[in-house]
Amino acid sequence: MIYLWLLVGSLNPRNEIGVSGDYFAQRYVVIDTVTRDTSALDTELRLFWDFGLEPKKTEKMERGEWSAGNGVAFSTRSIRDRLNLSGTLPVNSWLQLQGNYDGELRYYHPGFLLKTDSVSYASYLNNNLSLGVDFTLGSGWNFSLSEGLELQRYLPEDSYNTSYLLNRVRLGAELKPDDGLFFILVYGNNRLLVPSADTNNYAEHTVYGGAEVYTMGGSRFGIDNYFTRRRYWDRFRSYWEEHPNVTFTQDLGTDWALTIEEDFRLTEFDETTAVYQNQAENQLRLEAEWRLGSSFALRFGPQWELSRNVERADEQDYNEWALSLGGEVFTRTGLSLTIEDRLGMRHYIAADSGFQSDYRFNEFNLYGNWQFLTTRRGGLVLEGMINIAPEWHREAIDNLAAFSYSLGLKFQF
Amino acid sequence: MKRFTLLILVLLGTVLAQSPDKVRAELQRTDEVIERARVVVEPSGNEEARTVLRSAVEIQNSAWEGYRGRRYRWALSRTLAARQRAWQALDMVVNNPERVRQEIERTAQLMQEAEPLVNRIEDQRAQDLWQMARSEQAAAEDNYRARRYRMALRFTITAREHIGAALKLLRQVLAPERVELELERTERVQERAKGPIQAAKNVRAQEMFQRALEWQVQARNRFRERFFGRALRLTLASRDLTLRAWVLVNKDVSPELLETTLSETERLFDLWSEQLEKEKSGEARRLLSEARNHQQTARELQKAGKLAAALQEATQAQRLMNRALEVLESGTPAPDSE
Repeated sequence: MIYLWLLVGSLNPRNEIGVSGDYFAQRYVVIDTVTRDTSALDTELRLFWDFGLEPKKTEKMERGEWSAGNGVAFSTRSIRDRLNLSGTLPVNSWLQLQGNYDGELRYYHPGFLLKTDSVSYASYLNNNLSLGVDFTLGSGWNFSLSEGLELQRYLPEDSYNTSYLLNRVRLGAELKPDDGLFFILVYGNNRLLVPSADTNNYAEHTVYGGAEVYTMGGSRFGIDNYFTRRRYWDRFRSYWEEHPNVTFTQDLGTDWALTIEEDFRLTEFDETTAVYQNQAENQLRLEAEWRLGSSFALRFGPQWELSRNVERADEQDYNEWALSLGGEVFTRTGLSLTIEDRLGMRHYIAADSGFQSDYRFNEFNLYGNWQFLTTRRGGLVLEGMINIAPEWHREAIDNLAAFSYSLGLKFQF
Repeated sequence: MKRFTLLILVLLGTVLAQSPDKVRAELQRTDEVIERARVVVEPSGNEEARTVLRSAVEIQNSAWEGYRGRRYRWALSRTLAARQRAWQALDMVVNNPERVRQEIERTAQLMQEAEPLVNRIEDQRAQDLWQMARSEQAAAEDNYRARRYRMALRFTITAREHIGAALKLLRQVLAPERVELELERTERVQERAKGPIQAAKNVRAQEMFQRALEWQVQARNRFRERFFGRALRLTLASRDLTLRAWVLVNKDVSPELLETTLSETERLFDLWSEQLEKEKSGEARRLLSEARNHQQTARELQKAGKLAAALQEATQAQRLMNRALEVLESGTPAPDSE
């Protein structure tokens, strides 16, 4: 009994129960002999309980760390249960073992649907297991090797929802030679096996390399690149992709900062067809940030984006310009609010001969989280999100608008 | 009250009425589309497309009649319907149904790949993009069945763009290993910033750092709950605040403050070294030796002009000396070094 008491006393349980709801609406207009609006609506209300368990933290976790969690949710659309087990075990001062298991069972039912869906959902069982080792060499080098296996089984399987087995191997190195200087290089090897549709099988190699520098002069510079090579049975679906990104931020005094970000992506297929075309995309973003103390920040700046078919002019080629305005609030009273609004226009190069028409758009996103009641081990938290994204096309018949709202209330203890 | 209601209705009527210029512009746009369709459809020999185009012309004629009769709203709805027909006729000749079907299939394959990832990583923005893509793909299939190929193509391509955006978010921004890396990186920055910030005695910087630590705890909690988007947002905000506090402190480090801290520790060495060396407990001797190493590094950094790093080392030396004295304290109380 005493042992049981000691065991319970050394554990740290976490609970979160609550209710939440989502509303999604997308509206477009198809004009035939009579004018009619077409809407896609989706609503979901859910009740959830997340339970987590981990040992109480001590200054030195010499015997490793572990955690376990289980989340159950009952919603108007589905019943879900999710289990997570993870742990790290130091073997000595430079070697550490890691393990993680994630499993989820999701069963969709039509019982309480508030509105009949235009799209169908498939129940499934997902299992994800990964095991790995971490090596620390000296004070600056870290190496990691991991092997992960994912099994997704649809209940039942159909032509669209096909069960699969995905194997992931990762080999990574991280170097921290100095304060504020980081380098990382990760190689990944993925293999997908779809027993019922072997044309979907693929083998993939990925390489991620990146570096980040922070200086005491208030500048931050980051550069990274994702390289992907994926091979399917069909050559026209096989491709390689380069995706470099460069970000530079400079503080201008204590209240202002300027960020410039360049993001480029090039995709080339082994064999191009009318459907699978080589493509280049580029995004350039400039952002000024005004910090009002440590709780508020306002951001604004121009953005430019382009998409081009690499081999020839295409009806999907476009240029896009936008102005982004946003802000962030994090207060001591537990309120966090992020607002972003993008106002812009997209011009299709072949607008008059293609199937796309030029349009203006406005994307508004608001995300808020407010812990309005604080208890010793948590509190009562209200979370909300609003997303409004209308498009006004040159061809009025192409207009499209999407709205979504979500609201959740949860108690953490 | 009645007058007020009437006024409101008149105002609403004025606002909602279609302006003749706008309606005329739409009618002219439809004329252009019909003309373009005529050039392609007439010589094509596709009888079905010709029939659809003829009906577009008839609807457009009735729209012009409505315009001339000042029935602007009706004229607008007619001309848009006529344009839709003209596009459809053009579709039947220009857009190859087989290609449209393949485009829809390509989107479906991408959705098949994205779905487990969207379900696994609970991020509201990704869920929204996913919902948009799903309903657009359903609209593409509906339009394909209704042989409105242009609309089908447009919807399936829009769906693909939204899936692409969701996948980019989930694979590259919110991938659990990536978010965990960012969490660890923030913790490393905080470990290094902790010493100088605590040593500098700058109240604003310490407040900022304290808040950054709180956000990092929240970020870890969100990560455990698999809300990777929120975890990422919080840890990046936490790191940013830490760096700002660190920069603030670095600007504050005066040579005098550093010299005072170093001298204070040296005074402790003078006072207690002898007694600590004699201590039977190896722990006290080890702490003294480590403190001396840090003190020596601090003096070297001071000479090199790296004041913030020097202050961090000096503070560490001071802290180790205090711990050594606490070990000694089991018999003798440590003197107040402040």
